[in-house]
Amino acid sequence: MKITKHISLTNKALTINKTTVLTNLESESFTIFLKSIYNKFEINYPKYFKMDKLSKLGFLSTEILLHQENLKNKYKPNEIAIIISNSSSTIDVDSKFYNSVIDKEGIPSPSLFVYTLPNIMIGEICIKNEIRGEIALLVSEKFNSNLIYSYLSDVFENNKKIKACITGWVEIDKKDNFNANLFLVELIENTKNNYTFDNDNLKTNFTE
Amino acid sequence: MCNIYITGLGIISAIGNNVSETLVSLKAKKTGIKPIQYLNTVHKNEFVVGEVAYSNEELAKISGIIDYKKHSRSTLLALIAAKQAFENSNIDINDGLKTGIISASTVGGMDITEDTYRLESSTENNNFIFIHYVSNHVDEICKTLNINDFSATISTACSSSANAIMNGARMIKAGRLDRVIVGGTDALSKFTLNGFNTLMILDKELCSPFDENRRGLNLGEGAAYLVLESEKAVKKYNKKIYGKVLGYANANDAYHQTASSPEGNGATLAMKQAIASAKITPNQISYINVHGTGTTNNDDSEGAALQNIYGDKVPPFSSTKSYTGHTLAAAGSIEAVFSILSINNNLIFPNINLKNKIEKFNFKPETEIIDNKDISVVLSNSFGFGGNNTTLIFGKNN
Amino acid sequence: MEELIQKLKEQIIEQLNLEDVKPEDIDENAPLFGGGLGLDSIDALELIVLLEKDYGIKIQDSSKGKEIFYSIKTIAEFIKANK
Repeated sequence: MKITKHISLTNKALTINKTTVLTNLESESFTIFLKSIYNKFEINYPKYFKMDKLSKLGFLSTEILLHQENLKNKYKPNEIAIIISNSSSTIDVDSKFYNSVIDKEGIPSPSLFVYTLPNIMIGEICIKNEIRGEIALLVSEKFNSNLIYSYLSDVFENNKKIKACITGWVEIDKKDNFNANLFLVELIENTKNNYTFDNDNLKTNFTE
Repeated sequence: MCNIYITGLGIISAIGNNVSETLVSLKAKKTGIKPIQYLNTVHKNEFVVGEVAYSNEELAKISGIIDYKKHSRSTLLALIAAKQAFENSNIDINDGLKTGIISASTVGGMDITEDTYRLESSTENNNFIFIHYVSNHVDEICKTLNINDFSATISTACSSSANAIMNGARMIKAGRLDRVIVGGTDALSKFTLNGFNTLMILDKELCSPFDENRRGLNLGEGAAYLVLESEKAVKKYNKKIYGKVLGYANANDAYHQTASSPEGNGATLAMKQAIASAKITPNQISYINVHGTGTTNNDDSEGAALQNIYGDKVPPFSSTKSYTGHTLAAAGSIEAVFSILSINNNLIFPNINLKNKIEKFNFKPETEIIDNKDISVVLSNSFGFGGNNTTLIFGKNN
Repeated sequence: MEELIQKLKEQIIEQLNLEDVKPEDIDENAPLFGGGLGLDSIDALELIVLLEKDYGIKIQDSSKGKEIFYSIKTIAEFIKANK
């Protein structure tokens, strides 16, 4: 099992395999910085603009991770898994929905409610990429490489259909600090940038 | 294949505060769905729900918590059910066996936040509550039961606790743990009631899953936990075994944020893969506890999935959500306990409130108790928003 | 009527987060759903909320949405008839 690609997207920068691709020099807001990346990668997916912040971050990070990877040609829909962890769940949209419930119980926004479930983010990624394999969202206080490593090892060990997995951390807190670190893990070696999939490599590649 | 044994059960829901009360209600076809009594909401007289018939203060007393105001209703429910399972399995936590917990919640501490705090944009206090709400109940269980080896929280909407069971079973199989307490909890809250109301999928009367004229779901609350143990743990104590986890699978529908595909793609994949993982054939399944929420969309999609696998000859099936309401993250583990009760008592629990079967399907759920069959294998479905579909398969310990 | 149609276009763009869509891009007679705007069932629910919040019209049965929300024009007609 190998880590064949890693990307990180934070308030500061976007990196792909440890190379900085884009720096947020002007400290642009979440929405503006991510939109510039959306444009840079020529993504055309109007649904993106309807998503909550967590889904936007998870969706866009996955688009970058899978950019030029041609996963669809390599694997069948049910051969790809997505296991993502996070700490603040959907705090941004929770509080928005929450306030609307308290203020005028009765007519809060349906789409706001839908996005209060963190795994909708994974659902959005599955819909866009037609992924039908196993998915899970794990809650932990901070990125726990060991949790991800053991969870994923058990997935690969038990579910022989799974040949690749998108995994890592997608987090945005109440103050819009965000951090996505996604790893593409594949059973078969890729040609370049291979790291053995283990606890240490998850930990050392993780970018704060 | 290594066996995963079930040696303890704990449950609290609208139909009972423990396993034996639950069985009595199931047998008596007695629903727990009633007008709202405890939840503080403007919709009080509008909806019926499956509430646990205790105030938070009373729940705290039962769970041995002193300062009940500090704990959410979800945490109190979780503590009660997890303790029951732990005691039912006679666990000696200091016996050197590796013990973990995997639990699920979607609502977490929303109810305590609702009543105690008003959320202004970004005070530290609110941040604290929000950050900790989903996993708080797990920390409390670990503290109370002295579980130190492993803990994890899963949040995949309405399939959460089924995923907790699947993941726990795998950890036993991989030898990472000797025993694991698995399940989930969710209390009723204004948050979810209003949320589901905006999606227009709540039935204001008693829900009627798999009925041609079904109108939607009723929300419920509760918690349930199972103790899963390895061969090694079971042999050490010669324990009572309630059954085994035979198979499991999770697959994604990849169709829509909340709606299931009309063809039941994700559900079909989950069921097929779970059956394969249990190394059985579809016809060996004695009873199917369907997800069966009572919404037009779910029951159509799940029915299509049953048809994909079985054609017109579907094994006896029912939705027990007509008893408890939809308990969201707890539904998977509550229905896992029902499945184990089915196996241990050779009973199939009926789908209550059904009047007319869904016309386009040539099969219908059981509407009466069936007690003259050997129930050796039960399949239980749990589907969540985000297209997250999980199937668990339980079997008798022969 | 013209005024109401214009207002509805603006409200829908805002409520449904239609990025880079301007009111003049929406043909009031064209189907709202299944067309270029990429709307789905959650958007239909948002429209139900919009009618309730901004026009005081409550739609109890979500299956009625299909006819009402066929186009901007049909929504405007529905508002006029029910206000």
